[in-house]
Amino acid sequence: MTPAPERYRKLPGHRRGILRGASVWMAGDHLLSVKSYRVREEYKRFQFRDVQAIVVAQCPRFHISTRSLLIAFIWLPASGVLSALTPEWYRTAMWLVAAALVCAWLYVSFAHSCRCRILTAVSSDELPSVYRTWTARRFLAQVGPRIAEVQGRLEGDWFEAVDTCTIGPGVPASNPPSTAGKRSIWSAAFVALLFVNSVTMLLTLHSKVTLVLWLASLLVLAEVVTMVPIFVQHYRGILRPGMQRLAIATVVKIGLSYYAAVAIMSALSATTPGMDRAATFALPPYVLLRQIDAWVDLGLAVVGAALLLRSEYSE
Amino acid sequence: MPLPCARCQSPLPAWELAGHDVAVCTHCRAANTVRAFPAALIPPGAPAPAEFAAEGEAACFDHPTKRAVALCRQCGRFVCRLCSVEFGAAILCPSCVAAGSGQAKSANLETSRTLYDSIALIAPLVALAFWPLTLVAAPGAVVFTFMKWSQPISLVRRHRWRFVVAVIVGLVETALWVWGAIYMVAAIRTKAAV
Repeated sequence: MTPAPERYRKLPGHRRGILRGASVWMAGDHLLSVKSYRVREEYKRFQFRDVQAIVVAQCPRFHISTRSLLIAFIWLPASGVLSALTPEWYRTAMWLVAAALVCAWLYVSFAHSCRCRILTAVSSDELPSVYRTWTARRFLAQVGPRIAEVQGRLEGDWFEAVDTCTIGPGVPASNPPSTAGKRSIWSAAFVALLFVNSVTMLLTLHSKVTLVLWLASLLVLAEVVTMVPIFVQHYRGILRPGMQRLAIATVVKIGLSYYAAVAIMSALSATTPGMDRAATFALPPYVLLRQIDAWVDLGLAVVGAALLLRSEYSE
Repeated sequence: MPLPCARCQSPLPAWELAGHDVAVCTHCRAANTVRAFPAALIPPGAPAPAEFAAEGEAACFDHPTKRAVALCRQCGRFVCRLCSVEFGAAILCPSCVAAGSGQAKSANLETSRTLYDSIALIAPLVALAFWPLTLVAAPGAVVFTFMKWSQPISLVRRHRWRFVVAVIVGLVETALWVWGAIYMVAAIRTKAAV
């Protein structure tokens, strides 16, 4: 006789990434942490009777969910169509909405994000799906009473007793992960180049001078050159994963921007044959692409600056 | 180690935990919300005292000197406290768990699953990025769906809508290929007739 499959109830919080996702589910006697890798799922169970503590620490988390990417993908063609059909003020409004959305994401990522850990006698695991403070509150409100139902509640001066106990798998207290949060001269140069590139592009949006375009290409090349030591330093454990992820995001952005530029140039050449190549750089679709490119660069630079400011200097 | 900070894993000081909803980590300054439970106060590593079977008492199948405390739900062997493996309400012996059959082949043992429904759906959609690949991916997704339909999907999701969508996408892409082939043949015949 095969037992009936366990029925799981979804708990608040769901991390949706492009390649990875995470969620937590509740069964009759345990929590199930699910890590999803698109075509595969990994499971970890935490029995209610074994959970020693759940700790939620407020800290910045810059997660770009698939929902926010979907908003960006809808916004990009919408802004392209509207820029061709609608008056100037409408376009400005679209950009203001985009800026407001980015600011809101930055604010939430900085001020209302957290890291949640569940501790048992043999493990200390992070729950990646609980990464916003309001989600953590709802998560604790649902899970806390259920665990208390199984184990009972801690009464009196429990914190004094806890201070002398071993909670979690017993990582030595004298050895906190102190290497986290370092930066290097390359990461600083990379972020500076992102700033310079975005500002240069914004200042020369309507320029037809070929030299300016060469300068932009050189700056992109310099960005790529600084990324190589960033990847190496991350591999050697000198840099935190945040800066490496920023470099990956920049590589993806450069690739997308390159293919979009090629597509636009091909379309323009097809519709207006014999047009001077330099003149196409001042046409609205290409200017829009450079504008988007510049703002994305500026956003990445702001994130990079935030990563640098909250870390120590390593060299 | 006392309660660790969820961000840097440094120990949180007791004076921060006392009487506050939020304990600030002295190392990274992160504000920690803590929910501690009685399991935190159980001293670690204290083994249960040996429970020896007295004369006439049921003994464990693997440890004849130990008193049996339960019965394996699957094979019916007596098991001592050390040998009893709990699966929700059921208790199994280590042999049945190791064999991984019958009741022991429960979802509670699984640590990972391959999501065949996601593979079936992703293949024809990703192939669209380089459309000639859809010639293989689209019928492949339909065949794959019929092959894997009865396989277990996610432990937590109960619906097979991805399989259904994969079949629809696969059939539409295949139909487009067929239509394209017929159109080309017709165009070649018309050109030959002219």
